[in-house]
Amino acid sequence: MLLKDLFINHARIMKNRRVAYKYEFGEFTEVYCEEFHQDLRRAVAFWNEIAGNGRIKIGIVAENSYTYLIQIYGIILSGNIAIPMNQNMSHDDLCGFLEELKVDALAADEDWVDELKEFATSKKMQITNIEDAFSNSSESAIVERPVKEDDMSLILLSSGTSGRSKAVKISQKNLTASSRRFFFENKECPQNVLQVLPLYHIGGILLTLEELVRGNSLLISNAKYYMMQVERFEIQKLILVPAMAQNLFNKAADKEGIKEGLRTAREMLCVGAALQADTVAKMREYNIEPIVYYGLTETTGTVSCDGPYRDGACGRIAAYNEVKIENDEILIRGENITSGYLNNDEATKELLKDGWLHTGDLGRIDEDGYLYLIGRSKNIIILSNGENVSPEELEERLYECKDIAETIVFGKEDTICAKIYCGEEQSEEKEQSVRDFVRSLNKTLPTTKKIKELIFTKEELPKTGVGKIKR
Amino acid sequence: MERDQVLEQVIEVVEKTLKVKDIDEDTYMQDDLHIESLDFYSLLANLEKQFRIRIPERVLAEVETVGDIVDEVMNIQSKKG
Repeated sequence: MLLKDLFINHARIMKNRRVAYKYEFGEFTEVYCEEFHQDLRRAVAFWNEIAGNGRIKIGIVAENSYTYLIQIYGIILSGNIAIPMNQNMSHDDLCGFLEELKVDALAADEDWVDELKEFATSKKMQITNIEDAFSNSSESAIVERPVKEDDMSLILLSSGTSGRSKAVKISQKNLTASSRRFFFENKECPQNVLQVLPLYHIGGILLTLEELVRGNSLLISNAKYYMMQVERFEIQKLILVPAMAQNLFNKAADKEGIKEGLRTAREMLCVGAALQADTVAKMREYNIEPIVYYGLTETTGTVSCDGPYRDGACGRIAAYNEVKIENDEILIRGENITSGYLNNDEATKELLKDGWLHTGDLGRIDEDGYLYLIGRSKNIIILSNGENVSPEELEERLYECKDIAETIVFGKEDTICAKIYCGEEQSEEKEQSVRDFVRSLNKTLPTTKKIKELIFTKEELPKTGVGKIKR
Repeated sequence: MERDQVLEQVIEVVEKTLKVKDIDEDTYMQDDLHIESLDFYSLLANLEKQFRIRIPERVLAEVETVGDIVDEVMNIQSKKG
């Protein structure tokens, strides 16, 4: 199935109904189906004009908003390739990825437009303020260029299983695999859904699409606004990371507005990290049904999510994909599985073997088809805010400091720590130089990836038989 | 808007959001107020509402003191004209 088929049905079935909300400076505006599809058609026309006769890669660097939602689907519906990227990346990292992925055009928030103007000019990359990207455009029919199910439509940077981020190729078939099972199930009684996951993350993109296809009304939120919005907006479902859920319950203890807001909620879908028992208990207090999910960028999101909540499980495995456990590792195949990483055959071969995607996660399946995650065979640190942090990536940066001889990065009580060996001639001066280096490094890192604790050791770090530092 | 006026309003928003008192331009957000990142996001939302400007999330990486927030607000206001 193509994405346009989902949206054409959406326009037909949701006619005259409310489908989304816009939010600005504390005010909500309802968006009805006609306006939503008019906006989509404008975005399609805008990107068609930029692309000309070709098929181009269009990056998005922006905070979550209604506009972002329109742009990402507008780009895909125009037959071009969307590349949403983390807007909190450092300038150098972002430019590195834009260059590596050969991005042709970019829609960005105003601050990034200002900052990237020079770079964009030097690379002949068209850069547009995301808010302007369709406001002056006329409408066009959805998809003017031929698109096939297997065509790459979306590229997402995955924190990967190790090392630097990789570019995951996602096709139209991958994108529609999970959503089509929800065909407008709620159209008579739409729920207000607050969706906080970033739209550069597969969870954000896919679960947003699923809610639209269900016939629900979406408020695309972000880390800045969700707390304020829960207080002011009657929400039936929240899609967020566990740390945000916990934060809401903590704040509700002394803020009546949040408590009242939570009382209208029926479901809370937590993505990106394990859900703690005390958060589940809080949901139960408010009669909120917890929903847990397991999925990767490489599986285009949802692998398991179905069925009533069961302690310790990540939901029941969805019917459109097949899951098996081999040597404790979770292997998956189905229409949702990526065809691999862009320009990285070696990593693709590691990921896809004999038609199965090797997740690197360890798990088990119970007799009712519920999936349980019991560990990870690879080195990713997963914080409770859902952020996946590659220790190797941070270690690589730390080794730029001349006073670090050996280091290992790990997660501790939900923060990032680094153990450091300065070499045989350990001294106070060297330790101070490392501290200063990390302080500067932290200024270039997104908040969640900052190294919060340094542990100095006078002994070399333990090694494996082949001389690698033991994790 | 003059810097003093912006400072006064920023202090008011910080105090209200974080339920703290007696802060000034030199108060450190981390070291003095021990602000957590999720609270910092809420603070940005309240500042946006107060000044009717959009403050990018990534300023969190640069802001250390209340004075830094004032500079950031003034910088965005000046670009807005």
